Amino acid sequence: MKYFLIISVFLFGIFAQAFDCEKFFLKSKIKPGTVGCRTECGTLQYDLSNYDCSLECEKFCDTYIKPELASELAEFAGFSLTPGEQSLLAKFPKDAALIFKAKMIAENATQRLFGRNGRNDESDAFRHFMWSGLSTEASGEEKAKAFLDAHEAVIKKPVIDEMKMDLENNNYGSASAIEIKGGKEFQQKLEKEALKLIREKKLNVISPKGKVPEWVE
Amino acid sequence: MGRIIFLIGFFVLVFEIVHSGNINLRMEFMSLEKAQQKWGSSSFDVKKFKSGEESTRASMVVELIKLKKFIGKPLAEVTKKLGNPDGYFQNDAIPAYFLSSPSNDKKAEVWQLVFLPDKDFKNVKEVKIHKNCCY
Repeated sequence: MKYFLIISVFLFGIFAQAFDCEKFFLKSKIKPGTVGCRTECGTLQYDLSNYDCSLECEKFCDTYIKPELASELAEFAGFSLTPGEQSLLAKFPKDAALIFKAKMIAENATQRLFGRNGRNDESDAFRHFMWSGLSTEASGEEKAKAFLDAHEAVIKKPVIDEMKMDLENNNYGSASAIEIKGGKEFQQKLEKEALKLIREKKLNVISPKGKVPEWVE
Repeated sequence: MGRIIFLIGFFVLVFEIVHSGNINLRMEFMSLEKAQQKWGSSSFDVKKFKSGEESTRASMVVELIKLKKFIGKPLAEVTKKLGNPDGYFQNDAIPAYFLSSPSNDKKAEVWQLVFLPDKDFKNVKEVKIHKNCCY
């Protein structure tokens, strides 16, 4: 029994550290599979709490396939991925598929309620809120944030306000998903919460059209 | 070996996800012939497109695509010349312009012109007419 406990604690320590290191690397925004990944990883600011993570750089930077091949695969399927998304797909294929599913559900829900997927309007805010919320539920907060940030990373001036709008609405979606805590009718609850927050003008909408639909199934 | 497992696993996962629920990939495009039948083909004018209504834009898209005017040009040049995009296709960095408005009929089709980027998201690779709604 004593040995079992010792081994359990030891294994938990290893897995807990690996998990923390992955979270730490995702927050740093370095891209797995890229040429500079190991150098960038080696020069991150480590402290006593995550010093051991510096030994995990090789593991984090290695990917199943090259990001370029991930891009070819996505293009073959008709999807345009940003360079950041390509890296993450090459490293976390399962999460990429789940987050892609969340994106499709969010776009279809936007179409159902707003009649189209618009830009900078209420439908845009709704779509980002939903995508972020569903992704957080499917892959956890850190991975969802890493993928959604990578999706925005190609936007440059003068549309920087659009990026701010999307990131703010992503944060609301993620926070709401954590609060709702999954369960039955999760998507329905999330959709209703998004519409409520748009009506209360809490979500960021750059060009409001003034129309917020009632929730329908 | 890892690469092969990745490829098989990824495709199985995507297939499973797409077929597990009522998910539409939203990937319908209109051919130039159909666009010409639907909206006609008036000459492309940057100023008219920029300030025009959706129907004015629609009448010019066939000519715009045939001329390949923006192919190979930076994405930023598209928005500079054609104005702020109002449509959405996959990513906000992809310029998209509505060619029809949503109506009270929630099943009515809404089309948009999209400027698909190259791998680096820098230049225009292809221009297409995409069905934004409804699937």
